[in-house]
Amino acid sequence: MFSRYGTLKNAMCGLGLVALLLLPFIIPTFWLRIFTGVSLWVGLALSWNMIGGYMGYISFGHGAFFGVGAYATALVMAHTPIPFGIAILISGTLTYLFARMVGYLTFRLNGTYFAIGTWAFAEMMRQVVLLLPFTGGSYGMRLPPVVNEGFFYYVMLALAVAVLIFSYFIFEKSSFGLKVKSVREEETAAQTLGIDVEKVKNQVFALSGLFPGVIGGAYAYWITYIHPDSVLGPLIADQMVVMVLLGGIGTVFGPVIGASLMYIGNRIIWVTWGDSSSYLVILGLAICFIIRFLPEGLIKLPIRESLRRIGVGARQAIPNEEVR
Amino acid sequence: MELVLEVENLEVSYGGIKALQGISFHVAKGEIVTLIGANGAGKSSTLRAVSGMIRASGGRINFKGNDVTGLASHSIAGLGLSHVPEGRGVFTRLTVEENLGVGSFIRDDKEGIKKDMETVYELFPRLQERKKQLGGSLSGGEQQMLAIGRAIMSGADTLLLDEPSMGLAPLIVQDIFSIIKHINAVGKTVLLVEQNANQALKASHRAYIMETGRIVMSGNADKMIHDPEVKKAYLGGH
Repeated sequence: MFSRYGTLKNAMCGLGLVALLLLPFIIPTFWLRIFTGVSLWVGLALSWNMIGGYMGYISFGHGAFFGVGAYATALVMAHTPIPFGIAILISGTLTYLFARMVGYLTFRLNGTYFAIGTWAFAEMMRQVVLLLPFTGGSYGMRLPPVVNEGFFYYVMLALAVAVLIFSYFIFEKSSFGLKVKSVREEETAAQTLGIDVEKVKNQVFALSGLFPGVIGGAYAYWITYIHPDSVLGPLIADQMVVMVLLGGIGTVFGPVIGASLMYIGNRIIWVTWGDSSSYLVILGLAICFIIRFLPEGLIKLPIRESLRRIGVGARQAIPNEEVR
Repeated sequence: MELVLEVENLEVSYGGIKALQGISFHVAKGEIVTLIGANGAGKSSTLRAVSGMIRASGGRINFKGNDVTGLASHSIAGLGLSHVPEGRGVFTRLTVEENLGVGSFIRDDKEGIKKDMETVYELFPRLQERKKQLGGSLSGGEQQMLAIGRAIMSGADTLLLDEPSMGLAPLIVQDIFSIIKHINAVGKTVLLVEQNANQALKASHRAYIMETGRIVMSGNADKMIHDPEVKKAYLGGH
């Protein structure tokens, strides 16, 4: 249990967290914004991983939960005196219920059809927001600006850490997680063992829709201007999918790695070449490379072996579930 | 004789084609009953309809005094019926231990779960040796053992086994049939579907022979095994 590798890992996690908490005092605002973005995408990728990784259902509609969350917070804060903290919780509750409804309709579909169904749903939401009278349509919505980058950095970091902890305990450490995985592996077998497969699928989909709603709300308040194309565009869901695939689907830390690398890479390209679509070309090549050479994602790179070679965590064979 | 399962005039259709054309049979407590027949005779459809995986288009299914016709399969499982599907349905990326754990989710009697876990490991020492391995890394025979073990963990008293000998080496097939007899001896009622009619008849109390969605013959297994008609059609004519 307490192998040297495990101790090292805990120590590194602790150090990393302290560093993350001190970040606003160390780095310039420009970089702080980038790290706020990293947290945002880590949270989104982890949320998508619940349904895509643990449940095995590929959703291309998760952008809609982010967008609906953003609009819900914007509307609540524009028309009521409800503070930000509560507004994002309202967003989350709303997208949770929303996901319940979408799940109820789309889980009649299997595999590819589920993916298409969720995508169509997200596209529908974009059109709805463009047409509704109170969302500002194609003018978008503006929120009162709050210039406090440190605040938003901590909010996004807290949300990302919350999703991470939630994922770990619900999907890796609980009997519910085992239930979810059994449905992913063999739906009929799970059913004949008394698991209500439909219920499990709907629960996971709803949970994976809750967090993007909260994060979307926080995003709206951070960016202060939202538009159907910026928060409900298809690229949001696409990026969640690619980030998870890049890092390692169905794992806790894979999405964290994938989202961090991809978002930082995106920003570096943006800084060097300006706001161009070259990023998408590199993204496409990266996807091809990952699928060809690392289908299980970066997390399956043989880092443990390398560490062992330099003498960390050597000796006894670690049971296979210890480090994943 | 206490009847566990009573099926009356069961019909199943796939898009207008009748796979089962009104079959009736029963299984009594403590029996091993086999359905034998060629490919496409409707054996697997019968099991799937009984466990609720597919919907019956006609007829009635009664399990331990409950009308389960049209009930969802997880609810039927809750009444103590477990279906080990064709191809075993092992959770390949879960460990052996986790596979068995999933089996026991349906119940909450801690003592019973612990006792059944011991029973399973006693019955299948191989599974205990490999409890930390992934289900997908087991051999075909071990996977079948795991699938049966998992059904035992669900606390079911009635097991539906669909082609447990499929794709296994002859020696392992022997093992599987002796295991089936053993779990029957310790109190499980078994409804078996097999292509390996010879082995299945040897292990069972009674049998039904199916042809194109109908039951064409039924009787005691030891009589059937010597029946010239059955021999000719299903046992290779020896």
